[in-house]
Amino acid sequence: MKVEEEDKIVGELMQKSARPMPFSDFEHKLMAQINEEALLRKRLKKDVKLSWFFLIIGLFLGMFLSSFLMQTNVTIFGISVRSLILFTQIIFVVLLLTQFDRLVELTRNKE
Amino acid sequence: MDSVYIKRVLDGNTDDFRYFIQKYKYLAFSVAISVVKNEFDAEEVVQEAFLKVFKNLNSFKGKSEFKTWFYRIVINEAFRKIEKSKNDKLVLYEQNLPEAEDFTETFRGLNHEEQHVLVVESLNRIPPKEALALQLFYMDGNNMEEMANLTGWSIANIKVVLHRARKHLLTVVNAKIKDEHLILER
Repeated sequence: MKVEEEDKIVGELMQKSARPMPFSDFEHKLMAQINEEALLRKRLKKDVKLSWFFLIIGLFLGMFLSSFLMQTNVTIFGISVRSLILFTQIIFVVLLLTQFDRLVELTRNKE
Repeated sequence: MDSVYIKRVLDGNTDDFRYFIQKYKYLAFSVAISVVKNEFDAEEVVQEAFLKVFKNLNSFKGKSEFKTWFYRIVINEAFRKIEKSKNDKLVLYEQNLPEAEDFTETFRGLNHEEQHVLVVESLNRIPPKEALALQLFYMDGNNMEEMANLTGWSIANIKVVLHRARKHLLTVVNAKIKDEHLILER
């Protein structure tokens, strides 16, 4: 069979291949998923905003408390406040280093 | 028109996404089914593709047409789907096929429903890549360049795939008309 002939016959065959979509509720189901996704995104947007808010509040509060407590000589269960502050500062830095980029990424994604 | 609705969806009018579903669902379904070969998998592929579009709409910069971007997502999803199900089911497509004889007279003698079933079953028995090429070229009316853009294949590769696809389809239809079994499934 020649190429042109093949092309013509295949064209004719393919015209008989149209398959209608058999799922009448497809649009309804998909829109439900889309709405769910939109809702999730809205919630995420709110959560990201709250995360930034608490990060900034925590940062300032932590700085204020640290500088305030540094001036006292209080001990808690025999541990000096200075050591406790150092301990919380290390935790803060570790958390900041491991979580900050995630927060930035989430903020970028929501935009 | 697409760009107007993209902006509306990005502005938070989620219900306007319905426009894309109504406009592109049939096109997406026909592309998906040519690759995955079954209605339920095709539905899943189309669903996944639309969800992906919704999630990544903000990354669509309008460098290509929305339709092209969407097509690419559907094609990728469809191939991902068959890649996943390859583990569950092994399908062997016959590679060495005899030259097809002229069956057009017999084919034209069949009624519309018989012709449809014959072609659909034959398309299900040729490799996904070839079935996709036939769908894009003959049904959706894309030229070689557009096909290259949609699939990421080179034009030379498309020519080869289309050539093989034509031969394959003709041979399988011919064999089915003669009631032969060309595919080994296990």
